[in-house]
Amino acid sequence: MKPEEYVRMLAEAPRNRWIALSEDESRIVAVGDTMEEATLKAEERGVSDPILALTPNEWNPVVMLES
Amino acid sequence: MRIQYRPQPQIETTVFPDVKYNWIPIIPVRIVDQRLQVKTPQFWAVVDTGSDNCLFHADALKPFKIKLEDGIRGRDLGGIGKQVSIPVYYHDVRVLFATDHIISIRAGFSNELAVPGVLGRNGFFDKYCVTFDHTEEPPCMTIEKIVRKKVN
Repeated sequence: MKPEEYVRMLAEAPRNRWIALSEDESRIVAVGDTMEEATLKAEERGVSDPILALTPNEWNPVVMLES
Repeated sequence: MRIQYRPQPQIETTVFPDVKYNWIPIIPVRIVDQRLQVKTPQFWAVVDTGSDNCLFHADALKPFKIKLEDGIRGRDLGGIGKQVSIPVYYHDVRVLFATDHIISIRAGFSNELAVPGVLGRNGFFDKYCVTFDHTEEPPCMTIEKIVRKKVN
């Protein structure tokens, strides 16, 4: 999958939600308010081992946290 | 192991007009129990030298029926900005990545984390040597487990 396609897929995903990606990360198979909800929806759609990500409110440049 | 960064959307900006997307050092991880019977789904974790500790979204505790607030309340997390800080609770967990690498760590959990996971210095970088290579596109990282002999 080309980076442009991958980025477009993420940019078009609902914001502030958990998204479940297919095992090869080529498509978003489910969206949920929690990790559990997105996972269950993905499993219902036949993706048994999805990869979960959180979409931000805006895709701003990232600065990670210190603790 | 050598892992390519993942691209993420970049808001159009006049500051870096040629940058179409951000490359982020991410690996899929999951949290597992001792016997690998209970586990989270795989989720993204950013490999971040800037984070003191490993951090995860509190949703990753739910498969284990662990209550977030039963952990050790740590100092609130802050970034390089002055304004935002978020509450965090620390739990001892096992993290699985790349099929067969398991690390036992004390990690921070919060409902307010904006990413699913962060692999930071305590717990990850003290066990793995990571080389970040931005000289090629896509950028990639090489992660090697460090095995040190005990000195008596």
